Amino acid sequence: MNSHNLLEVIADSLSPFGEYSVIQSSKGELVIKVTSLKIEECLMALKKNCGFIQLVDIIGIDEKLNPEVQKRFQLVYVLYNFEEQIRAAIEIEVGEAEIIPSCSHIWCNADWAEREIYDLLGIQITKKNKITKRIFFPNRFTGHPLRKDFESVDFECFEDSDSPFEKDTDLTLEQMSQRTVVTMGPQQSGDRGAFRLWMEMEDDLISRIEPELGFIHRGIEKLSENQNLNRSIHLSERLNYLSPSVGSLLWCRAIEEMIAIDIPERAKAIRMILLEMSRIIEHCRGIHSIQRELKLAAGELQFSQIIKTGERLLSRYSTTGHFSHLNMIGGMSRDLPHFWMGELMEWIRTVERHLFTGHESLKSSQFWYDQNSIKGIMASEALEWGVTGPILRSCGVNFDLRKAEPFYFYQDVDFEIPLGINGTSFDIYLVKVEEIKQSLNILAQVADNLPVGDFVSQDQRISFASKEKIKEGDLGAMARNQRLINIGPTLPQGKKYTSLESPNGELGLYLIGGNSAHPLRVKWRTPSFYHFQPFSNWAKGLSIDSARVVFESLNILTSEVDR
Amino acid sequence: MTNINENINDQFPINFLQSQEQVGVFNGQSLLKSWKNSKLQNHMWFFPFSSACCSLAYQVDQNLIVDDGTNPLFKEDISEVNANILVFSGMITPKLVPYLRKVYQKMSYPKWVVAVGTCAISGAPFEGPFVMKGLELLFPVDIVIPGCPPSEEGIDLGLKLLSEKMKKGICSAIQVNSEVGLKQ
Amino acid sequence: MILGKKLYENHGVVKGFIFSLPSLFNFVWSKISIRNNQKKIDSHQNGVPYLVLDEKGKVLCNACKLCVDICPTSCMTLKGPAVSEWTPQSKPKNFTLDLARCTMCKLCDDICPIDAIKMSHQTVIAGAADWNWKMDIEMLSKRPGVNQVPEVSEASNP
Repeated sequence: MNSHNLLEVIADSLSPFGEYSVIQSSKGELVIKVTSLKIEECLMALKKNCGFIQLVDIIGIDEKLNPEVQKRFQLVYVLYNFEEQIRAAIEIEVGEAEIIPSCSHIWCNADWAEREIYDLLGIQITKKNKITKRIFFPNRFTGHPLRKDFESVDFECFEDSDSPFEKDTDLTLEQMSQRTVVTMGPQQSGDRGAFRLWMEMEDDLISRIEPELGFIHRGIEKLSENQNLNRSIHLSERLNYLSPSVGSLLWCRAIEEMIAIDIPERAKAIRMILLEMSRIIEHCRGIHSIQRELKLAAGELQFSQIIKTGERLLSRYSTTGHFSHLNMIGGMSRDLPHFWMGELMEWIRTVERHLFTGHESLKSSQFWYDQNSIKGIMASEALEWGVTGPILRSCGVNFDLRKAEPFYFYQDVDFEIPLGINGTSFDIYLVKVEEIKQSLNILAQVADNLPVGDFVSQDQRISFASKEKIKEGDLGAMARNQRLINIGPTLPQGKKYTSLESPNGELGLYLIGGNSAHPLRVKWRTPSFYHFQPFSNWAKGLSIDSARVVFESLNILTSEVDR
Repeated sequence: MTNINENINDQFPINFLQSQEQVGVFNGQSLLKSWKNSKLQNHMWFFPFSSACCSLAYQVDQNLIVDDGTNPLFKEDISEVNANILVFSGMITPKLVPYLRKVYQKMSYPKWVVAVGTCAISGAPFEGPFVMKGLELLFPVDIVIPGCPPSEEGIDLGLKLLSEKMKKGICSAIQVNSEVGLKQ
Repeated sequence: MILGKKLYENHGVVKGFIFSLPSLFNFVWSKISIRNNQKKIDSHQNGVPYLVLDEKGKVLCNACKLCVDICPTSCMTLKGPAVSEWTPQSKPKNFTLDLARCTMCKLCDDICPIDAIKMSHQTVIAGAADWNWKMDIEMLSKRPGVNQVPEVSEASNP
């Protein structure tokens, strides 16, 4: 099916449901506007007839300060078609007191996204005539933080919450009395963050499980709306704190594409190197955390040595401890130090050596194989729940954003994509080990042909003036620096969704610019949010220890879920 | 640029406690008490609470992540009733406040509090309505280790200073008619 | 590429033991080699900032306020001449830096046009909560590491 045929199919399926309009951008992305009377039928037709299988994200926008708009809110549904590799954004206008039907019977992963929209913005979305619950703030809290007229949070009115389970009417009284409710508190072992798990246990097996979120909600999206674009790089690194250069890479790349700036080739190659190094380090951390959970010492020294030497190499480039400030709008903030490429080549060799011994000793252990083969995920289930990244590839789906939407030099580099069979935790481990080897390939190819030249673009709209000019007494350069620091670069009008293949899955950013220095809406689509949702389905019937192994293999970080 | 700190051992001479002896509670200790307090160095039971990025720094320092193949994989968790010291690293959000108050009440006297990271001291990078501006607003803090995240040697130094403080018997949480009070 | 089925096979106990023996020898060897390269204190990392002095002993800073505006945590305050009276020869009246809020990101060093504020390499900082963590010009202009303990004082805030 070509995209031309796809437009005809969309026109056929949407025409009986009222007015609509379709616009296609130059890169092939679709924007569809629909009147809000029959949303459910439109979305169902789009899923069944036109092939938009996966719901990527739902975004809510408050347009109170825009004088041209009649209705206050706007909802955007972002969908993806795997055959044609086309993304579509469907926009709907919503008034202040209107109620919208939910679409969680079409796509399962719309549940938490709709709860978040109700919590932060106040748009009411109903499911079987019941108003949705909040997700980050407790139910007694009044106020919606992402609205433009929100004031402040009172720190004293929060109390501990009660059990979120409702009565199960299928069971008799006897069966209900045999169940007990257990919590695992906000403090978790390891570096996963803070959340609370409510579990209903029956004879040591889990029958119902539900997580409670909101313990690390810092409001990164709200803070980025009131700040300079340059200052928000500081915040975008603290989203995923295990690989901070990925978040800032996406922020800078999204802004550069909106302003239409071309960065020099050396900066592109260095950004690719940072991305692949973060991928290797984070995959090793994931394997290491499962080993620590199972208290298995085979091969553990090797994986931790890969992590330590990689971090030391990165900190030598950035001269900070952990959070590098290497990416800035227009390129890199400093050039590579002397002999860093030589050390990178040495590091590639040590990683190969450590990986070989660690993998051999782990693979031949019966305990590791048994503990990790408990729960398998099917490919159709993974696509329904919005799972992306190495977990989707371990189910057998051949999809990688580096091949589908390549950027920088990913078209010129040779690498392959490993696929698993069953979708168990053991398959995820094998896929991660193979991905580390492919990343080493990419690193070697980029390092052999590193381009020479500038490392930051000299465009007048975004670049700072050099120190020599100001020392000579050029007051115009001083004024330019002051303007860029206090006000910042201006975002043109427009809406854009950019995404990346981060080590966890698909990381996306939706930006709306209004020809001003502050963006109108910032929304981060994080992979951990969509991996945590189906965990309550996948952990049923298991004991606590096996559920913990399944949880650790999904690589969930609470700072990404809560933002 | 010249390298200024060639001798890292000269950095923070440990004589700050002389200025704090006037402010301390157990002033003029008897022989028994001073002997008892000097043994407190061996009874440091940590209750680590980490909500975000600074947990990495604390874990590497305490060898919870394996450094050179020793046995810390099998360290057991401590509950808050048995613990002496609360090590807090991360940011404070309104949902965490009731939980922290319960933990602090369950701990027995005398107790010490350590704040690791800039977010726990002043909530600095996230200035907004969602993050509390420091742990000092909840309960009295003893040792403070700034940095984002702080280095491993910094955490080492901070815990060494804490052990010296415990030896001298200075504690900022006092028991006044079985209620928590700040020192005057 | 699809991963081969050989990776999913189980060896069994005896074969598994034989295959993992080389990693045991590697374990011992790497333990020895790691101890030789124990964690050296990395002396290139960013630490506490300090102000540079000129030949007469006064501070080089001319109160242009670029570092104050670019700091992401706004930990610096500066009192100097008004905007209309600013010349490249003016000097600041008062300059404070709050160490409890500094994240040591080096942005002030990169932006200063005359290199008046620089990052030292002292990353080891710890202390009591009673101390005065706001450093003024005198403390900032001495190079940290020589005798710099912020002391408890009554009149702390400027």
